[in-house]
Amino acid sequence: MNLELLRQKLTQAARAGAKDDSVPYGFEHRIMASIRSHGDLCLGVRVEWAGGLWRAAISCVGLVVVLMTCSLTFPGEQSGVEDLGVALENAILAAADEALEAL
Amino acid sequence: MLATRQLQPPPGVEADDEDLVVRILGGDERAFEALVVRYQGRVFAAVRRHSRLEDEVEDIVQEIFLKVHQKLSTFRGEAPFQHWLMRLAVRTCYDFLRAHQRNKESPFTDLNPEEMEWLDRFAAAPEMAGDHEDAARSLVGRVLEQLSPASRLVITLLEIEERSVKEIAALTGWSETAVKVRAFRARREMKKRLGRLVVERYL
Repeated sequence: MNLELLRQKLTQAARAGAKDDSVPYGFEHRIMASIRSHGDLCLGVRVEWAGGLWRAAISCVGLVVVLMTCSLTFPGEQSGVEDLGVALENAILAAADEALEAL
Repeated sequence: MLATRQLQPPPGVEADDEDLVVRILGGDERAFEALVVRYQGRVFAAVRRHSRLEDEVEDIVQEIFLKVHQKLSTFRGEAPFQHWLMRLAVRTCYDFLRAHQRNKESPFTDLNPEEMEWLDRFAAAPEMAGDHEDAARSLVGRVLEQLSPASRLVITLLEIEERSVKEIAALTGWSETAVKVRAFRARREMKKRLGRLVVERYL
């Protein structure tokens, strides 16, 4: 059988078929309903996220206020910048000091 | 009275596409409904070329209009709205075909009597088998269902809708070379499927 001819015949048949542009009754209402429900769903997700973020933001602000109050009310020991500098220097040079002592 | 009111088109059906788009972007839902009413017939006709199952066709058309609603802000108005819509429709059909690929190895054993008769007539004398018959259309639908999504799309657009390579490239987003290569492969794949059909029927 000539397959190329068969292919061409079938393609011609498909081409000859009338365009079916019929639309189910009230289809536009279905589209509008799905758009509204989709919009509601997106809005719902956004509202949920916004609520969570607001709660987190309020918690963070509360924590900051509590910590500030604590630090102002109970000031701890002040450690000077110089002390920190000396400690850092000792830590960095510890290995070199040990090597010198070993000699 | 109520029935008469329901049959009336939504206000805005007579407005041109650009006006409707502006109104939709401004939040006018009735304008979108008018756009749906205007184009749903054309979209249904285009989608029916790609799928034979009516439930599937309705789902695809619904998805197309949902995408139109979501992406309307990207429509720049450089080309007519219909071209933008058809490009979106073709790409949605292609995505749907890829996501719902059927078993391509399914045999042609469930041909109906009319399809078998058409095939027998073609086997006896090709000129006796008409190309305006429902049986032939149904048969080509079966063959197309067994092709890969890309082959099916390119055969539908190039050979059935008789679009140019340039048009197909614009609709699909493929390069013109890619369209030509895919068309070549699609014809070969279709012949292969037809060969299998013939073997199953006559050997």
